Amino acid sequence: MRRPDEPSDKLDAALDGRPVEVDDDLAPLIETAAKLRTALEAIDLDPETAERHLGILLDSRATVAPRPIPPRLQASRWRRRVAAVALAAALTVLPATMASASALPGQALYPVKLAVEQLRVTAVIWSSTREASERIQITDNRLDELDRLIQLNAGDRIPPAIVRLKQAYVDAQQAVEDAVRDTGGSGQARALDGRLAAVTTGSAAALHRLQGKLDQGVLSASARQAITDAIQQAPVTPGLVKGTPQPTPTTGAPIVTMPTGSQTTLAPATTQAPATTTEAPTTTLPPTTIQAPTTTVPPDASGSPDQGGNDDSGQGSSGETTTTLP
Amino acid sequence: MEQERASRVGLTAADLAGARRREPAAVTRVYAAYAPFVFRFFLAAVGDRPTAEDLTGDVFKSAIEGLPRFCGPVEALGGWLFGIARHDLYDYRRRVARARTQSLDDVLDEAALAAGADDPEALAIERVEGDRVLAALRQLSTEQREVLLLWMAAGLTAPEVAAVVGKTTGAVKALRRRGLAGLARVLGGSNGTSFPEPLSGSSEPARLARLVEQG
Repeated sequence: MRRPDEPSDKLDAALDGRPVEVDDDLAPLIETAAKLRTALEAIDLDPETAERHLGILLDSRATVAPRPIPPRLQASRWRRRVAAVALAAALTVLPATMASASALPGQALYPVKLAVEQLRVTAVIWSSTREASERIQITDNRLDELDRLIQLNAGDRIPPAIVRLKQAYVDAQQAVEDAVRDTGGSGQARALDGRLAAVTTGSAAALHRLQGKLDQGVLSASARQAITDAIQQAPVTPGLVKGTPQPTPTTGAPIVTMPTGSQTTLAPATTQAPATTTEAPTTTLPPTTIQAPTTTVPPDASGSPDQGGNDDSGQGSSGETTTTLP
Repeated sequence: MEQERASRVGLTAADLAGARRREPAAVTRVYAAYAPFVFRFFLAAVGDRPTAEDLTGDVFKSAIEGLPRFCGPVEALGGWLFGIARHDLYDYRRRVARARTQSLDDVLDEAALAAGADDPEALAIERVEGDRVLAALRQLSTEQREVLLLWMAAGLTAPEVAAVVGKTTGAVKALRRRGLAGLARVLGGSNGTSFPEPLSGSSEPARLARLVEQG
């Protein structure tokens, strides 16, 4: 015979996440809780709103700006006053929010920029193509930051910027692969691949400029060493920067990679990797290779199965994408 | 050496200390950790996105200003933050009671129509279903709704909810059970729609009523 309070205890246990045997009495309530959770989890905070809030929070002089009230035609004085308040609020808040979009690593608003980016990704995570698009934008942001730090000769901030760019690229590449798989190689996925390719090209150009700075001796020896280390540092996702030659040029590859690939090589042939030299590197980067974009799209959703031995998902047997852009 | 503990949302004592000093990185981490939950809490409660956004901003402004007075550990920050949110929600309701505007039902009807307008069918169905659940939530008593939202939208545990609303944990659990049972009844009875997969041989309202009485 069951104790009277047993169902409620079991329900509490189930709702608190403890394992419990669900019977017909509890099932509807647990199902309702699941429905409520789904409904609530579908609610997302708009990234622009988050940025507006952070702009207010980080500007100690700011007051919370009330939403401008639609002016009434018959109340011109009131309308002017509302407009003045809205303008004052905008002037107070805008500097912080605008600055966050162009903030560089090391600046006070840089964390805001990263947080807003993350919120943007979270807001579109239900769509693999939109997520890929956001992640490519983030990679582009990291590239822009690296470029500007190179221009500023900010030697101490360049190495972490390189690491962030590599990680952003890995994330974007993975997201594009997911989008390709989910959409079966749609035109949208091809466009994403093209955007990622543009980032790759931009990265090559940025690293050439960095090489130029190193050649000119603009950066300190410690900065040079740190840059070398950053380029050699593997990203979090394993298997993308391997330090060994890639079997084919069409497999997934990072933006900056160690192998002596077949394409653009920044360092002259005489450059040696620090791990194998007895002297500290002087003015050249390690044998860094910029490879062409490698996240690839099936030639057509209904492409021939013989093409490159691809499976339906567009991925090779090694788990890496092996098809190429047409 | 004691390892720094992190709260459920990944904040550390160092984040809390930094936010007290209004360090931008720490303030941003606190905001990013809790803002989505606070916004869900408000949107589900008031049903209007711009209002929920404004209320969310107000909570964090109050919180960051009041953080030097918060003496608890980082694990208690969520409960403290939602205490402010709850207080602000009551304030908002008082203001709205004086100048009643668009009802939540109207907003939800518009949202349901908008959701079905341009989006893929599956997404539209999901959104309409979500709106239906949130509309049903509004039919519960204030206490039940509040407890369910603090528990599920805010992610607080039953004891944390109890601390926020000033009740015992047992009372909160009872409100939670009754709230869910009420929500199940409303969802089962509204729009002529019952549970998607009816359970074998159960008369839901009767069973739920019995269960609640037992609780």
